[in-house]
Amino acid sequence: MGILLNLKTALKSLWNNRLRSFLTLLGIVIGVYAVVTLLAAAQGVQNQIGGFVEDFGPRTIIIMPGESDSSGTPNFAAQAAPSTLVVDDISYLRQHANLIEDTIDYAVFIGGLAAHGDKKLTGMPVGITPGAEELFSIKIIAGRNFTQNDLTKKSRVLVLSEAAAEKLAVKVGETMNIGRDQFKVIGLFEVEQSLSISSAQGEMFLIPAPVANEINRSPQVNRIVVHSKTVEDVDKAIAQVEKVLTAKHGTTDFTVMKPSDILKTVDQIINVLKYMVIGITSISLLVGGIGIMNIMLVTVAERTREIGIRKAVGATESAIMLQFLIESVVLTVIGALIGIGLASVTSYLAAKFSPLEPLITTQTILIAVAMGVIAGVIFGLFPAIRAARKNPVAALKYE
Amino acid sequence: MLELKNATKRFTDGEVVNALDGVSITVERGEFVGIIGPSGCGKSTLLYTLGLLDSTDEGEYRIGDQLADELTRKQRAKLRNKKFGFVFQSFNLLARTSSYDNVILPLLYGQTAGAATKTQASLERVGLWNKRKNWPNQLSGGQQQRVAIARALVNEPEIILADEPTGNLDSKTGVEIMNLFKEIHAKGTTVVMVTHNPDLLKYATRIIEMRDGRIVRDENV
Repeated sequence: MGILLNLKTALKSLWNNRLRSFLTLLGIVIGVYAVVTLLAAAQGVQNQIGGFVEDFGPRTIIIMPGESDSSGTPNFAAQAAPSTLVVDDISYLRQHANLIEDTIDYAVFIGGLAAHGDKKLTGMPVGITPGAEELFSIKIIAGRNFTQNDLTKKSRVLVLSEAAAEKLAVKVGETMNIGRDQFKVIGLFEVEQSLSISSAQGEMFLIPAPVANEINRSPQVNRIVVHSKTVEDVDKAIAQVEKVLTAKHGTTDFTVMKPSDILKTVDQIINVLKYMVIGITSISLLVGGIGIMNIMLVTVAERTREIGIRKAVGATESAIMLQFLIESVVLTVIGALIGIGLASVTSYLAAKFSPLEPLITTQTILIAVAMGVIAGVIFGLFPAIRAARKNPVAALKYE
Repeated sequence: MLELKNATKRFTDGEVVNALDGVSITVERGEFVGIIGPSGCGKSTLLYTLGLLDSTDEGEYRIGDQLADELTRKQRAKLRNKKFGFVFQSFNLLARTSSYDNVILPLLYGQTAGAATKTQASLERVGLWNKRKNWPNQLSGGQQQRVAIARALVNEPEIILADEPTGNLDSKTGVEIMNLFKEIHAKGTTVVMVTHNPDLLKYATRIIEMRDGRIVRDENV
């Protein structure tokens, strides 16, 4: 008896009990749906970050406050503490690190609520030097960006994201507040790539970095962006920056990384997440699988007489076993396919109506189908063996 | 062709019952053996033992020069497929399955060549080619039994084993079925039939009577 005929028999038997089959495969559908949706979300985040990182040039080096651990992962808690980097570090680097370009940019985070008239908005006010825009991947769409001249004169000017401007109902040329300080709005930008999926970066305010230092009444800076002179020397430049700053600070209380290092860290975290997702959703597949085993046992019992007939006309035990095994695998694979279909719809809707860009990869589909096949084999095996081992005479007399 | 020696088979159902109690029988090619006896005398057990659906506790069974004890379960399945054709009292057709698919089944398990031609020939032989697409529940009892006979014949077995083949049919239909068996036998197929209806013994060339698991009469007629 060929596989095709077994498939036909399996489909027919499942169709004959279609309500039961459908209810049984719901467990698998839900399990696979969860796996595929979550993996697609994780993959989407990974790609978005990857795209963001690619926007950086290959010579870009970022210095962050706070020491990294021995694996190179930066201390994210240190981002919230007072920064260990100061404005002086920049001129010091310019003097003592010869592998990097003289133009050094930096960013200073400030607190304070954005306000225009009676409208108020939290969000992300940051003081930057023009080159540090590279950190945020923005594109001016109205007015102008601030210039070196604005920096030198410490002009109280501000560019903000389209989203923030809309919420505050503020236009280019008007004035608005960050905390108690007043700024003139000179430009609008759109955020091309967002590292964060929260709305924070969508609602972003950029002001000249020296003004931010003035408002903070502190020389602390939160990010320094330098570029190695050549692509080849990036790693040497990182080592040099680290050495120079450590000498100045007396300790390595900062982290120097290439954007690709950030990507590596994020990739590691997301990969761990993916394994967790597979692990957790496997539990729902286990539950679904037990449902399959249960219904297959019922099926085998109901079809005892059929098994007797098949044996009487010459079916071997392995032929009977294969028949029922294929039936349970067909059941779980159909469940997996429905799960993948529903996950595709969900991912499509999520991409349309949320900042997420879920992506279902071929690998994810293969994992899902493989999970279906494996569940079908594992949970169908015991019922199939029971079917194969039935005594033909007793089976033929079964009512 | 078939040789059973001193076969014993016990069932434990509260008390021990000897379904077969030292039965010896030889079936030769071309015979039409009618086995008769009251219910519970072991005649069906004997039939199933001959057809390799059942096995004995003691005794020796030879099919040609093959010793049944030496066969693997797979070989037994293969012999059931090629050498024997079963016909049952309750037809035992697969439900929700067309006559055609029921008849072709042994050929699929035997991976026999020319399955379509053989299936058609077999259905034509019992006069039901026109009912090939019908499910068993769309056929009369007599038609169902003829499909079952077509299934038993499709692999051109040497022996047809029939267990009360007319037991579920009215007497007129029963006669039709028996005439079919007569025809099959006339074309050279060995038939072993179990019945409790003495009227059917007129078709047999040899009559075996059983009682309490023993053969009490065995004569050619």
